[in-house]
Amino acid sequence: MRNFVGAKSPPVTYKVSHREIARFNAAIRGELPPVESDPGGDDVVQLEANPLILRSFITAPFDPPFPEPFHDVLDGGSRFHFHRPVVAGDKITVVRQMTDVIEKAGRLGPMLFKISNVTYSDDNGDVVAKQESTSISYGRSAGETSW
Amino acid sequence: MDNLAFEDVEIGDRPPPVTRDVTPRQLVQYAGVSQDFTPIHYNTAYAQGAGHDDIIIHGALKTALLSQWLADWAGGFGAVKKLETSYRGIDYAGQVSCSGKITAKRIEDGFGLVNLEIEFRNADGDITTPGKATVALPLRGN
Repeated sequence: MRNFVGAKSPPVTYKVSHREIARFNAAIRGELPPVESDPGGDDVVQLEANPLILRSFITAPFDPPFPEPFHDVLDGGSRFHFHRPVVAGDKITVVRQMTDVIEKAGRLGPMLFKISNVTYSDDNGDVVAKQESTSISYGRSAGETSW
Repeated sequence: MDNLAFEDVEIGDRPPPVTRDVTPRQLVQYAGVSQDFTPIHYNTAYAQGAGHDDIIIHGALKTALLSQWLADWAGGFGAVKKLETSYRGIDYAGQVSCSGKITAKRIEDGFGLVNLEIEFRNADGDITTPGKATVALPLRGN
């Protein structure tokens, strides 16, 4: 698995809408999404997203895929650098690069720590944000499901 | 506070903490908007099968709640520039809180930058998610 250190995921680009931002912000505040007419052009209303909307821009799987041994996954934490807010009309391209893979024994048994850097860029190629994240997998083997 | 300025804050200050009631509905709502459909966040039987007592709050939702708390404190002219969180404990749906204190401040490129140590606490008051943040605040008169 350590041969995945340095691997980059294929880029994925997401266009961000006013409605998507409104729904995300409402979810963070624990409110129901607003019922409102679309304000029109994305360039008219610059509703700022909660910065964690970046996490909804899912990275593509590595190609070839990472040989994940476990079924259960925990988020170990993140370090974000926000260069600017995400606003309606943005086209965000996201790429993940694996920087480390570590096996450890933990409270829940054998665990696999995957450290990666995620870069979020706009359509000018400017960096919107960078994220270092730790993903922890553990428990049942990857083939098991119970839901 | 809507127009907090860099000059208004000092090292050691604590932004007003907030308490939030994270409900199962909010976890479902967050799963939908974040695309994180890991069942430990909405399926009790699944969560228990994975070794938890109940459904747990998404780590990224905890970070989002901290970022929202900081953004609300900083006001419309401020911005969260850096945010680091470490998920050291599990949080179940229920009452949680966000708090922290200012550890450093400096002026850089015409902006006031404030460093904070931040904390996300569960209903028992235990810190489950410590972290650090840097928030930009406007300079008075700018």
